[in-house]
Amino acid sequence: MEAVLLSTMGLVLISGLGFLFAKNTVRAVLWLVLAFVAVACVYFSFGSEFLGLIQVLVYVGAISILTLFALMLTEYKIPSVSNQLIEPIGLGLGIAALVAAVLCMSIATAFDAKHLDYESADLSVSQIGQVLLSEYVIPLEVLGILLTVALIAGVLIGAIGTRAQPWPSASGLNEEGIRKP
Amino acid sequence: MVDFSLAQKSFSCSFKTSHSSLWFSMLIFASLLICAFAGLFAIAVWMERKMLGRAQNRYGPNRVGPFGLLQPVADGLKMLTKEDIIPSRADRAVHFIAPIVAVVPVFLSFAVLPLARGFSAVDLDCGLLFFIAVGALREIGIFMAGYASRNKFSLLGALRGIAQMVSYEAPLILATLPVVMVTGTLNLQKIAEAQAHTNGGVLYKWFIFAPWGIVGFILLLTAAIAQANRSPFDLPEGESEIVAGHMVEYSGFKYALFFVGEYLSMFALSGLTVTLYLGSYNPPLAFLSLIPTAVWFLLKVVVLVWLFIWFRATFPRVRPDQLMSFAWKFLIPMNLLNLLGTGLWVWTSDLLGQGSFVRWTVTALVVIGCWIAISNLLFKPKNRWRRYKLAD
Repeated sequence: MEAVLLSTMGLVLISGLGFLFAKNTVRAVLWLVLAFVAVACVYFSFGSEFLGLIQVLVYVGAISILTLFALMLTEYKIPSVSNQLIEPIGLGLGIAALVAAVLCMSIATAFDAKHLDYESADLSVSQIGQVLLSEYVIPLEVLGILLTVALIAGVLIGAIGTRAQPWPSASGLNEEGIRKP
Repeated sequence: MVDFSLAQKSFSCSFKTSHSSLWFSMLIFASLLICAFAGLFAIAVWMERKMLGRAQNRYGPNRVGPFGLLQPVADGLKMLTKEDIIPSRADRAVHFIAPIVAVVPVFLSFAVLPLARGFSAVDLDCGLLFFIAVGALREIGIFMAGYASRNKFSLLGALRGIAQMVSYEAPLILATLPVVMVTGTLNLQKIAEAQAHTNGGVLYKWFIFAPWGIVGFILLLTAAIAQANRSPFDLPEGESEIVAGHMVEYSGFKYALFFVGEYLSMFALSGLTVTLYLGSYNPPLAFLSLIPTAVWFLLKVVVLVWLFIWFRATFPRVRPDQLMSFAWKFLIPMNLLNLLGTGLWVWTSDLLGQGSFVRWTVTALVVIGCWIAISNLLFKPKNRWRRYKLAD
């Protein structure tokens, strides 16, 4: 079982690296999609099917598509990344090493045992639903309101500055039956 | 009644260690599924061409075999022997992978459908969620095809296709919710078992016979047609508008793979509709239970696919704005009101006898009343009665 877990985590790493070193932006987003799927595989190998499926549905099915639309529908020339090194490479590497050290130390001190003992979470979907609607109902409703507000805001932002025009009818006549250009 | 779980158990018991038997039985069942559904693809191609031909007052293919039955074979051979053309400035890796990403999720989604009593390749607790999540992966394949072809029109077709598929995911998921509410589980096997009881020994209790089931079935079918990019929602591949849309720069077998993905997603969504509303593998009447349940499932899926093809022959294509307003202004509110009706049904679920008849009619009135209210409120056609200005 550990082989599966390690290989899915390795897939996350590989797709992250592919995302960093991709030749253009759309390829980078496709590597990101692979990273999302790999994270879902990590969830599956821990036994939480529901979380993994929600990860696929939300991240791959919605967020990556949103990203692709944002790339394609805005006036953004997709640049090809040149192979030159960026100037402050020493500073970048130093900061990356510092962040990695902090992360590794915090993970290592979080668990007392050296060997990570995971069990498959025996959590059924109905239990998650029960908990969501009893203990965590307020966060659930607040999230719902948040998403609704985002949706309405998006529609409003798109609609400002346009005036709804009636679609021209096929017969060339308008509502009163009069031919208008 | 044929029970496949016995076959599965006996298969895995014939090996010494349980580990290898699991992998081996998975392999056998997966390859069986793949072969069976690829064979169904051939049947669907033949059925479509024959039916479209008859609807258009002509014979379909009738040269290649008796009644043109070998036409899919001829098509397959043609596609295999065609030259594989890739545009010179295309993104080669993405162009290559796109048909794979468009086909593989559909095969994955067959794994959770209960094909017979006790037989589905994988028995997941959240099978319905798996089906829908995996269906969402197909859209990435469509985008990859449209982008990698370096063709403005194919990109446009791909984006239109993705917009359509994303906006019809919400009605699809919402239309499956009444069934989840009534059965209380996402497990497709258990949903199929919940429809395995007869009403007084004669009629099986399919969910379509409930008032929320009729409406839910129609809504799910509509969303399924849109998700499979079938006419009247076939904007991504509208032949008269944007010739083959995202598939325009593909030739040979990769083009055939896109169609394999589309037809198989039609089968998969029909399978989902059959499982949720049409009683999965249960026969309609009790005395017909002699026929094995696998045959019933297949029969119902083929009937739904026949219905899809009939819709293709009958309805004209919708415009993109009609598509979007249909999804957001009719399907989603109607789905939510259907959930209201289902809530009423579940709330009064302890009524028996005379009370159950009242419950059926009251729920039916609520649900159909909502349908009439929504369709008349939101879709007032401007030129309902066409007025002509004639010369006097």
